[in-house]
Amino acid sequence: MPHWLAVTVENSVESLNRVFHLLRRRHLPVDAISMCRTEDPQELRLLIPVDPARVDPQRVRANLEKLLCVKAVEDWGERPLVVRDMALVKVRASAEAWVEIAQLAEFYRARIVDVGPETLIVEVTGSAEKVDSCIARLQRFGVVEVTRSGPMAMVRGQAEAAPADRVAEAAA
Amino acid sequence: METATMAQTQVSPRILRRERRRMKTAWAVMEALVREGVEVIFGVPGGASLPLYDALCDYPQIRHVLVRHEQCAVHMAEGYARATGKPGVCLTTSGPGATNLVTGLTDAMMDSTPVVAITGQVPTFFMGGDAFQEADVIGITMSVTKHNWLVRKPAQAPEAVHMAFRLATDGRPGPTLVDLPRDVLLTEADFAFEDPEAFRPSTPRRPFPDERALRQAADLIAQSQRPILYVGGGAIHSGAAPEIRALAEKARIPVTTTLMGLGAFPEDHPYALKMLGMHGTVYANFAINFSDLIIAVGARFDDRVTGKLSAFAPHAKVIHIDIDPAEINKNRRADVALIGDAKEILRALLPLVRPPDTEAWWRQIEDWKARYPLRYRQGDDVIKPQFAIQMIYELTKDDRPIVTLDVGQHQMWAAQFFTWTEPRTCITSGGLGTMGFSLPAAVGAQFGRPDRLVININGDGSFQMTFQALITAVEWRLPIKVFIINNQYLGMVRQWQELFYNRRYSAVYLANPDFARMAEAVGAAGIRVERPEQVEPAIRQALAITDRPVVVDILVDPEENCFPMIPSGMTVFDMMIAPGVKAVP
Repeated sequence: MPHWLAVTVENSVESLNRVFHLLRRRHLPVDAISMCRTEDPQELRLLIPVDPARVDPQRVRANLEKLLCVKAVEDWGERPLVVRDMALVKVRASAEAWVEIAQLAEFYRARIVDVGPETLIVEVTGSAEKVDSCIARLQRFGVVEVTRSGPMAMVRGQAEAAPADRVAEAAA
Repeated sequence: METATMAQTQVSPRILRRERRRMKTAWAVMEALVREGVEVIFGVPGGASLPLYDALCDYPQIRHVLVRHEQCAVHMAEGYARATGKPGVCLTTSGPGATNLVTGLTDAMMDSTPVVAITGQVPTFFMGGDAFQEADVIGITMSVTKHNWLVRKPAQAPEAVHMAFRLATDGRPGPTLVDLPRDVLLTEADFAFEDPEAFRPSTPRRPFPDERALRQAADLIAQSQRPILYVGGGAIHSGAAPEIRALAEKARIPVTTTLMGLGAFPEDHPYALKMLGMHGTVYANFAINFSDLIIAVGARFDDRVTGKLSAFAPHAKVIHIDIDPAEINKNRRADVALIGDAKEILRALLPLVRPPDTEAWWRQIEDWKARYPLRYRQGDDVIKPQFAIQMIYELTKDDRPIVTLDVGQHQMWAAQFFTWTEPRTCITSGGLGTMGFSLPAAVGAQFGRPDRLVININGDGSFQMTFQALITAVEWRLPIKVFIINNQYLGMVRQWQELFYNRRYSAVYLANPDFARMAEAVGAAGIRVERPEQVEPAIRQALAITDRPVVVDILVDPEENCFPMIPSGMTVFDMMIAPGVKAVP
């Protein structure tokens, strides 16, 4: 179970550059970062799963909080989350295979969102394991390409949104 | 105490607050610098920064010190900042001007020195197109500044400058950079000037350590039998020297300082163990490694202090006082972390402290001190570098000099053989180990503290890296005393080759020029010293020259080694006091 940090940053290429630059230069062992938009077009949320066995999540947090472009770092720890991953899977499919693929998609509550002359695109949403499993099952038809969002997550049942973690100190 | 009076001598920037005026951005930048109380800027002009230099003509209250290489500008800004506690300012053009700052900015980042760099940039409509003298300065300096700003609109310029100053000194100090494209600098706009304090970058909400954490720390101190205070550069930035002394005296705790912490605790105090680490005293290294409680104040458990981290002070609990939360548990796990300004935390902690029984501990430490004093043997023929350094100390100590040290053997000997008693008097490159730092840093320190004697102890190798700073010092008639501890080698590298690479000397011999004549050639005084009996008269002669810089080239024993030494990555049990001789606890 990873330890989640939810990092709210300014929505700009520069701020993403600063965050990734920091993670790289501090050699902080984090990967599988996913990037989500939020209700505010001015900001982005980065979801960073941290393995506490490899690095103290508080150290990652403390480093991120030094960046001015980071508006808030929420430590979700191991709180109950809704986690969803989404993939678009392009499968090589002759007309004969359509029914079989459609049945498989049904099983994963996936949808066929594009039908081409030689391919289908399957859209699947769910836990990372479910998406993995769906892609694995589709392999035997011939997967042409996959794009995935990476996990999006939200804390279950919490009434207030992400707290404003930073304060501008009043002029002395 | 000193720094407080320095801050007060500043003209208050507040008298200029809140007004709205129309001007070109370059002038607005100067207005912002004036409001920040900037009195001196170190820099070199160039194409992209021409508008700033044009504006500078209208601001005679800001002195511009022309350097001969941008690296000197940033080291001067560092020296100024370290001597005064105020941010040092350097100004360069785009491209090569800006990239030449990188070493100094990295140095300032490692040693938490407040520096504000202002760089010209190619016009916005050229940016990204590989224009002449274009460099991605924001990208290049991202790792080596706390934050940097590219100003795209005139209105952002004063704001960026003020933010750069606030951030350079807020929290853990460090360098910041403002990149100003030439077309923006030339654009006229209405500028509203606010109180500089209004531009404070937002910081994470972080409460002062609660009573519970402070009590835990006090309990650990009370229960300890072998406590030690381990004091770093953060204590100097914080101005925590009086509180450290109060804590040491109240709880009878020995104090060791890092290279960056020299001066945070008076070494003439009976509780002082002097510097620890790779070339620290034997007794400081034994004390910290056999301690059962380390109280770290503004120190970061650097590898030059700990040696092999997993074997460092294995029985010690740790109270870690630091303003930077990212330092907690970075290298050494803290049992109690107190995050905040060292001075404030120690003030809150002091009333809670109950003295532990340290009688037996002190007997042990006194034994180590008696058995392993720092020593060297001066003969009749060759000058021992330690002797030269000790003479410099003895003959200048009454003047309470500010001393800049370069990097290498002479740095370690000076750390060992000076008796450091006052904060902000030892200025050296600690974290980055930047050869060439000390001469320009001495220039910056002298600008910051014109009232004080400034001494630069340099190596023959490092002197040649930024020699051109001497030309600037001559131009401004700065009475800096430069002492070159000249062993005609890159001495520390030679020492490692001798001890760890079977004396296979590779690229360490320096075919040096005559430094005294070099000094004379640029208008400084030059003195060459070759024999032990000449050392004292030469130093006295140098001290008597007060109208220009003086370079004293002291030829010392070429193969003297710096001991004690804990070889890199080893432990206190591998501490050598002579080749092949280990110290025994």
